[in-house]
Amino acid sequence: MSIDAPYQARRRQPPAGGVPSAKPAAPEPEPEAAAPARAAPNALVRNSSSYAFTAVAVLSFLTRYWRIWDPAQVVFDEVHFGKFASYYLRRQYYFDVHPPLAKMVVALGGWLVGYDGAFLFDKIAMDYMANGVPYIILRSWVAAFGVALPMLVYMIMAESGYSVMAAALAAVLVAFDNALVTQGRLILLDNIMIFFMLAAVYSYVRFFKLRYQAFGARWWGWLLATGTMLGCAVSCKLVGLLTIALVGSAVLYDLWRILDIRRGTTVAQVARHFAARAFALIAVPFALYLGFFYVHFAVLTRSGPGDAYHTPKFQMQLIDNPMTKTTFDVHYGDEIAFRHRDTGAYLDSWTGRYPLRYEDQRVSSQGQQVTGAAALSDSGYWRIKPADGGADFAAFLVRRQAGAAIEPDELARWAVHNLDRVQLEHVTTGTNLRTHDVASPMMSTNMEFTTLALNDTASAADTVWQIKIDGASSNTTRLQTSASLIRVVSERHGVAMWTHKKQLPEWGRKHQEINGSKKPDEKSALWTVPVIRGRESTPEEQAELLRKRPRMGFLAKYAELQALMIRHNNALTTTHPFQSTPITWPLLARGISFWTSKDRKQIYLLGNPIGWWLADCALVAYGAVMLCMALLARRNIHVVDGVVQRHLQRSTGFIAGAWALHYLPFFLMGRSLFLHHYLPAAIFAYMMVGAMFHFFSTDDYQRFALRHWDGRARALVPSVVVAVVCVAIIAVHVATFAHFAPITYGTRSLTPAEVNSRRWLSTYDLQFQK
Amino acid sequence: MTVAMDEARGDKAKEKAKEEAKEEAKERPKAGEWRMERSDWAAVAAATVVALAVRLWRLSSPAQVVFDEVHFGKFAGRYINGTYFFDLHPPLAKMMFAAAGRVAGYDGVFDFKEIGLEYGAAGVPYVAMRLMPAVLGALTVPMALVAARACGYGLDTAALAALLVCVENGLVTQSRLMLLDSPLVFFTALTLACWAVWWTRQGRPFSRAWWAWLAATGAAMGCAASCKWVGLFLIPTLGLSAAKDLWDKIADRSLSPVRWLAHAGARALTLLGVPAAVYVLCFWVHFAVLRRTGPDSSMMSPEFQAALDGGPRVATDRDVYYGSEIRIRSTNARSGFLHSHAHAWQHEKGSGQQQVTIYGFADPNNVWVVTPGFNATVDMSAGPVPVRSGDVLRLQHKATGKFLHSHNKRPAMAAGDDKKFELSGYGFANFSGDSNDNFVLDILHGDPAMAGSDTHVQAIYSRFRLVHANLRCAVYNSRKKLPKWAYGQTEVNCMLNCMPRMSTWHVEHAEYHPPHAAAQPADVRRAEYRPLGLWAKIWEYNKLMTDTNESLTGDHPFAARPEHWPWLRRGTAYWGGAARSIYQLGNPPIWWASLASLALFAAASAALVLLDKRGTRLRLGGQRARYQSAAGFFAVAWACHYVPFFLMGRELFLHHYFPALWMAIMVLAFSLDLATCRLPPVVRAAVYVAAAAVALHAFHTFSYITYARPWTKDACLRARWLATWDFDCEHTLGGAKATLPLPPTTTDPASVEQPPAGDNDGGEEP
Repeated sequence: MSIDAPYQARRRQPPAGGVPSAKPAAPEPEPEAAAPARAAPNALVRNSSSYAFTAVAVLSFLTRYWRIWDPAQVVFDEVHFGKFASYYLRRQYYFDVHPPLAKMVVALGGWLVGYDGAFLFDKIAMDYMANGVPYIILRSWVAAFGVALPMLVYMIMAESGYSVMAAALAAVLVAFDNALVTQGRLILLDNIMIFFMLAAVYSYVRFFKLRYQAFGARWWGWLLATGTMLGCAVSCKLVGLLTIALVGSAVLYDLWRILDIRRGTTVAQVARHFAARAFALIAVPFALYLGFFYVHFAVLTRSGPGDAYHTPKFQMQLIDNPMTKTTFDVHYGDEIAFRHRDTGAYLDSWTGRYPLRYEDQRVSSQGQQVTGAAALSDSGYWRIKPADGGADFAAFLVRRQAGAAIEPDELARWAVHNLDRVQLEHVTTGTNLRTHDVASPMMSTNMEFTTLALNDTASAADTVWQIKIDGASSNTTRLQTSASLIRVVSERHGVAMWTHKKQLPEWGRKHQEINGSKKPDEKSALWTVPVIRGRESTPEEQAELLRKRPRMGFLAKYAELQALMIRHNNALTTTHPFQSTPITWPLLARGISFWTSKDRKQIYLLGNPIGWWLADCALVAYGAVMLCMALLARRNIHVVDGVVQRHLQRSTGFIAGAWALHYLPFFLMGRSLFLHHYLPAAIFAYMMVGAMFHFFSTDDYQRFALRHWDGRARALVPSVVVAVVCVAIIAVHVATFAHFAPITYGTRSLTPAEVNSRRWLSTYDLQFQK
Repeated sequence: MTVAMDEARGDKAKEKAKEEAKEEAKERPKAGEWRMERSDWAAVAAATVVALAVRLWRLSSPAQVVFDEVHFGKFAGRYINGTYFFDLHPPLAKMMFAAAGRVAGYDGVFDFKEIGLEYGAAGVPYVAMRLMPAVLGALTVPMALVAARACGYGLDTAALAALLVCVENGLVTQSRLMLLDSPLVFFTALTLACWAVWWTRQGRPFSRAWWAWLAATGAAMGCAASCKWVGLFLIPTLGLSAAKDLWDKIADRSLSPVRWLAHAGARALTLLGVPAAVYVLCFWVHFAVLRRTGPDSSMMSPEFQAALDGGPRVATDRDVYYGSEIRIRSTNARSGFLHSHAHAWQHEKGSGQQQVTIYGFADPNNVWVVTPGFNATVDMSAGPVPVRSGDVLRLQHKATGKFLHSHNKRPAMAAGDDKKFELSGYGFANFSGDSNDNFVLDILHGDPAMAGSDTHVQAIYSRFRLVHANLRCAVYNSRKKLPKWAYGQTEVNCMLNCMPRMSTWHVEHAEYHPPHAAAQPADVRRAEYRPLGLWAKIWEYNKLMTDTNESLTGDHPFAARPEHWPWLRRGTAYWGGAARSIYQLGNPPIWWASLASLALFAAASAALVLLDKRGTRLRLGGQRARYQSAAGFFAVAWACHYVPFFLMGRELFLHHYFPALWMAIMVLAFSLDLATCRLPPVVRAAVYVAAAAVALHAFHTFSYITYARPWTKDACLRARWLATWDFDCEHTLGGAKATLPLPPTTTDPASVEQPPAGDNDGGEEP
């Protein structure tokens, strides 16, 4: 059977309207069988796909590696990612909002050449040469992923049935995109993530093309490759989830077609298809994601700058962590301090009173002030007493204060446990901590904290507190210094001791306000007991503590870190001067200043304006073509051939969906966003240029729909006009690239006139304009 | 081969689909048949009477300011006085309160200052003002009945829907007080009812009735959006419905493309154009009524204020020359003037030189003298020299003689930011200053109507930046309040790479005193703010509404996130008196059942589509088409009125759910109809009666906190079905605090008390 047969059959019978019927189950025909239809093409045409692929590889290598040693200074976010790589090499624990894979890949490059992580990339524009960092190796290593991007674009396009020229066009546009080049030759994560994204897309295309040989070895191979690449992408940055969503929607579309009873599939077959995809595309990526975290924890075993983000239990898992040495049981009668977890303030009090009337005319109780101090001092100690200790406790306290030896058994009887009812006596003023139904100085919704004389029994109920240890359920858990996160909740009023960053006025010594929050379950109501006055640990005790520290399994560690990452990612809302809104990205309204030097050199992240605007046109053209086709199809008018229509819907639709899914979700994100978040979408937009070029330039469309990109492909000899258009697009694009190259590579000083000649839009806020 | 088989299979499938479509067409009621019958009119009348009774009962109690009446009562008074105010909601509902008050004789003197103030003593016609939302609330009940009938349901189902709306405690509570939600829900319900009726007129497109109902839909929609922006969610609701209809119509080959375009155009006109016109009209009335300047006018731009009566009239010499004395105002924030005074910077990394700030009020210390740049001279012998864009100049503070200065020191409020530099006043007697006094004046844009204002500095018309000649930073209004040692004034610093928004300035006052009288320019041209036109006023007001909405991120004790609404996790405390209180809580069985019916609809739709794909077509007893179109429409409407709230960062409250609740109740009634349609009539009737009985029982149980009736502690504790419902059972007969009022709460504190961050906080002057 000739490959033209189905096409010609369709030509003879005008395609039926409505939803296109299922694709014919044509096995890929052998190229030999196809050959006799035409005269054999010459070698240049026959091998054109190999030549094009090689050219793409060479060009992308040149653009990425050209003077990769320049500038020999820390540029933009190298300040973060270089630092993280150093921490891996030092095996010190750090915290970051992104998953670990890309950073581990960077670190791997350094490890292979024996770099020890001595340099910490503290500030932008620090010098590499003076600090002896093998930055060229690190950059080259990351740039290798950047070089692969245009090649992958070519492979995806060719594999999806576009002509050699269309595929090469898209790939060359990507190779000469200024933003991708800038991003592609520095120590940044996006390259690595985009590499895995495109690899996943490529694998899925290969997998989809094997749909008529389901459950075969190659089918499984490409399916698992898709899952693996997706897992790697999402382990670089959580943006990888968008690629999972893309493949997921394509899979759902595929399954939806398989489910159709008219295909004669049984429910069991559908279930099998579903299970295979669920395993490979959900279970495998998630397992990989966990696996990378496992490696992450396995490498980072030492205490480092990330400790402070974590719970005490987590911190104790790290070697040399100070917390392990200072964890003691708290006993009644101890003088302890309270430290607020979020703000680091210490519970403090002094003889000063609340003013009778605040500025807003509300009235206080004029009680003794209880405030949050930034540092621990004598006035920050509180004696913890059982709420109904009686004579027993008094006797114990006298003996303990006298320094009498106390049996461990008896001492254990006086340990403070979860849910205990306690009183807290302020040591320097000899009064008990109290809260009552008076509004606090700064928040009318919260209760005032003050103290009460020891002999005042009328309001004694206000001074009873319940210690609630976070995560403990029974009342046998002991309160420990450093390790226990606690809530101090008033038994009578149900409010929790709480503080916030706001400072009291002069009368409150500029301390933080402490008050009773009516939401005792909020995370912001957590405190620790950092010290017991006079309690130091002996070396034996330290060894004992180290031995007895609670163990934390991998999953518990992972769960804690993941929750922290999400929380901190959402909290990334501080405004950055170069942040931007998603609507400006495809228009390329503004770039990001990455680096400047004193001699008027600069690196400014900016896409190739011609390329980006061309890509926008391609996207609009696709939308318009599809809309017209859909509207006309409703009225049973078919202007486009059936094969072309299906290719536009499925293959080009997949690319358009990839663009949309990698772009539109950013509109929903509240965190601060940057132009480089658009780069994955920009690549798919470039692929749309190729696809639209193919659609508008190729008549003999069906010959490509099912072809393979390598040597077996039959290239189409383009008409002169088409070739000229393609070359013209590339020429203009490359010329623009060259025009912007000085701010892409940062290798040449520019005069103000030269800078201004690159301000194509007034919003391009390049440095050194004057 | 394969192709042929495939197509044969396709043909068969197509035939089958055609047959199915025919069967479905039989099920579907024919368009254009439905008319209100006599029984319908009777039911509508009965429903209206009952609903009025439920809403008006004890309307005069409590005779005190309740919850947000504190805002909306006050705004009504402002309309009556004609005093300008700003609120973050559009004006229609507030104007309706004002109209009701005006008719009833409210003079606008009582100012609703705080919750719990007695109306009786002040002689406010509050019952009449509450009557307006109560009547509108009552009318949502017959609206439900009409909408259900228009969707093709029987009178029994329609009556059930109306009853459920009637006894929904939340809707009752909301409509008995001066709050915006009752008008909002009314107009929303009216929109959907009109749309449902219009749909029945689809058989005669472009007829008079067709146009009338379509236009009524649009007008009601415009009114809803003019009450609260929540009404805008009607646009996607009806937009989706209209789009689906047009998508179906385009396949109808009997409809010419021109005719189809006419259909599309008519919908666009009535569903977008008419509402927009209504919205603009409401604002036109709003601005026409609020003519006089008022306490909130300082939140608006000077051009806006120039359009109000009694506001400050700014008039100044227009042209700015070297030697002119000028006052410079921050253009885009209402912070005030560039200011300096003889006090030193006291922050840690500062220079200790003289402070430069922004100060909100007129003051001699706001005056600066334009001076040629350091080491530059300007030849003024031939008469005054105007200041041009791009000139390098110095600004000398008139009172202290210091020059505006910047240098590599950190500003007071951004100590850690190396993109910001301190601004100070610098210079001594017998010291001519240095090059750090030099600023480049760069005009961003002039007033198009004033020739030359984009090249030469003209007071009021030229908008410019001041760029430091050495550091290349621009004078930037950070809108942060300085500490007490700087008298709480607003910080100004010099920032690199800043956006123009907060670094744009203009001269508000300029005067030129020539060195000798002969040099006085020939004709002294004057400049003044040009009052804004209607469109510009609407634009500015709406922009400020947006900003205020976004900044509503308070910590209200009764704020509730959307995920807590549909299952009624918690209510809102509105008011408390001795042994009685108003606590906004819905009718729980209705809320829960309506949520369940929405879940059922979603599950059923998914199951039906899947089964269709597997060749099993369920017909649901002939009800499928009606269930999918009618319940589907209201389910989509519900989603459009509920899901977007998840994207909003601002503080939200339970009452934001009420429009969606009305739609959910419709879905509930339709689902009950579907569930009972194949049961014997007696059983079906019994189910309906039982549903009504449950709703009535719950209504009665919670009527105490709806109507502020005194109730006992026992009844209160028994009514606490969920532990999260925190109405205070101590404030009841037999409770510990039976005689004490509850602490008051309101929403939207920012709408009045706090203008948007940083604006208008002039601080005090030494």
